[in-house]
Amino acid sequence: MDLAQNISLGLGVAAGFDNLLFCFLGVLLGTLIGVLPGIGAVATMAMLLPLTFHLAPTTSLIMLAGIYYGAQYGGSTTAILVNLPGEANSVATTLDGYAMARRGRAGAALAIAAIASFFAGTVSTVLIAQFGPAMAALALKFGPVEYFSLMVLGLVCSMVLATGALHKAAVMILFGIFLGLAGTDANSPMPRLTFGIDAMADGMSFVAIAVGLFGLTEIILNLERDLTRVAAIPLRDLFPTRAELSESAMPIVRGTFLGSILGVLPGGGALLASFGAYALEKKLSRTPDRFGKGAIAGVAAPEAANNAGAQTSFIPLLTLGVPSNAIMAVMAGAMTIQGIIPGPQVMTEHAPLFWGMIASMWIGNLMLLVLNLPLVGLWVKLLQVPYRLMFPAILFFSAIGVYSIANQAFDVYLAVGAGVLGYVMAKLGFEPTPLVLGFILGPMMEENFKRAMLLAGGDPATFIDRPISAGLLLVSAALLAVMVLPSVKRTRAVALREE
Amino acid sequence: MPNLAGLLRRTEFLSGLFILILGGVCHLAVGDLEIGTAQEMGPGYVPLALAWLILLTGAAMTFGGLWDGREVQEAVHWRPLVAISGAVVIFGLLVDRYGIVLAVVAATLVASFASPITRHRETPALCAVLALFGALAFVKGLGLAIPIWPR
Repeated sequence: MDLAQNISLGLGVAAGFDNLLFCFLGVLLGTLIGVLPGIGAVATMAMLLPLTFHLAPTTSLIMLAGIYYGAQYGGSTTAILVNLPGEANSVATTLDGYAMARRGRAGAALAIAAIASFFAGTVSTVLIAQFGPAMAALALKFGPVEYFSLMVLGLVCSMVLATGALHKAAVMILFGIFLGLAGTDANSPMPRLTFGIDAMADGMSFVAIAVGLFGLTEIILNLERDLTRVAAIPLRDLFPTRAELSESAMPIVRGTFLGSILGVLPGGGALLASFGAYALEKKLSRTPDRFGKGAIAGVAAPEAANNAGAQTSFIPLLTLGVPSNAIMAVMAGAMTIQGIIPGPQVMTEHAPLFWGMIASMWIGNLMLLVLNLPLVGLWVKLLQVPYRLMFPAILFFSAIGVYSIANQAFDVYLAVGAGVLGYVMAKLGFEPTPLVLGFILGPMMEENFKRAMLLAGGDPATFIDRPISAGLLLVSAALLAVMVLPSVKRTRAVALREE
Repeated sequence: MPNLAGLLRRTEFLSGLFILILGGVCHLAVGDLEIGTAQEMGPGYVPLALAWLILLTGAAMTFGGLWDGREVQEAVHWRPLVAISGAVVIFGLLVDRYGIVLAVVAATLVASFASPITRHRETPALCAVLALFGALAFVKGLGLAIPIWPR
């Protein structure tokens, strides 16, 4: 099938009534969550997973994807209007977006952000459609040896891009893999690593772990800090001037391009993309001193980049079966719950699902563009809901979401355990993302590792004898080696600190 | 070499101990699972290897922490930690048998002690709204198999 055929198949699926409706609900809900500070996209998606159980697989994934890019969008609204990034990905937007708002150009900044996001969403949707099948075809040639090495590379990349210390990310990956292995494994009928707890016989609940690490920990940490409220800046006209439009055209294109590339990298995604694009524009600009004081390029580029990155981060998940960040790990969890194993076979065995999801991303972006500018006023009002009323509600949704996956009280306690663990980790400077990636990849890695070793007669040299695998491991080793060089260590510290 | 109390304020040293504890729990969990051989691995092969890797990393971090003078910056605040954990645990304890309404009310009451930002005169109304919403939206609306009242 060629591209046009695939896209029309996708549009046909995505334009179904249910899919349109839940795509709409997803982006709406996502925007809402993106607007509210103190509750992240990962926790929300994990929390709302149970709501999508009774939906058809395609519809549920469309809704979850909608939540994700809706949250991107909502995050930039608050970044511009109140200088509070609703999502980490919008931090770069606060720099010039809020400055523009203070000069009375809030409307223009919002409109440019919307246009940039839409443009980036469109281009990256085409990119996924274009390059996805090629990558999946490559992945189908992979044996267990190559798969194992690919996952090693993915995890190494996520270590390199993690903000904390390298060894801390590494040990969290190991611990995550271990947790992922608990329960019944494929080769033996007896559950393992469960301390005899029946509720863990099918493995630990991913939702409980994610809600605990990202949701509960976040609430506890937020309550320690003082969440001060900032007054929103009133909106005047929404339309950017012709000069503002032409000034942001090239930054949008460059941001989209950079974001699309960075989004594919494991551990990268939208966050890195937005900062990278901001830095690039500042470097290319003839008037770099205007950045931080309301340069429209400083809004256009990171907004395009974070949306492009958010979209293309689906590529590794859908074609290789390797989630590249915590949000994709939640998507992988959702797919597994729906009985779809993420990987190259998704595109062939579930073609309508794959293309429907891709087309829905574009439709979702269109909905965001049309809907959100008129709704800005409503979002701003939502910001006024005080945290003292919000956190008990978030707590309640988390608890009920975790419980309802299997109607097991044990999962709720597991979430509490994960929350306390996440709290200790936060105090000691460990990040939760490597743990979650390890948790998702762990069982696949063990399976492939075992099979590879069995085929090779127990000789680990098989991983360097096969060329593709050797190449992947070589890149991993090179990345690690480069990371421990003192000069790179310093640059990385500076580059990632801004986040 | 600083004394023990001084060491326990150091981030790296504490991180090392934390990882040692995690590794220890992992090792305990493996127990006497069959290890197998490199060619035909038993269910315990990979978990045991991971547990040892975690323990070794933890030991290295603890040891390295003896020379790393950086101290933990953020203090632990017990109040939100205990109240939030407690609230969710209470929810788990009650929801099975006593239904969503009692579970939500009890959890929200416990959570209201998590932070001084709570205004206690608002708590009853908040409990009522959340309980009503939970019963209507989740149990009636989505049909989750959770009792509304004690059974």
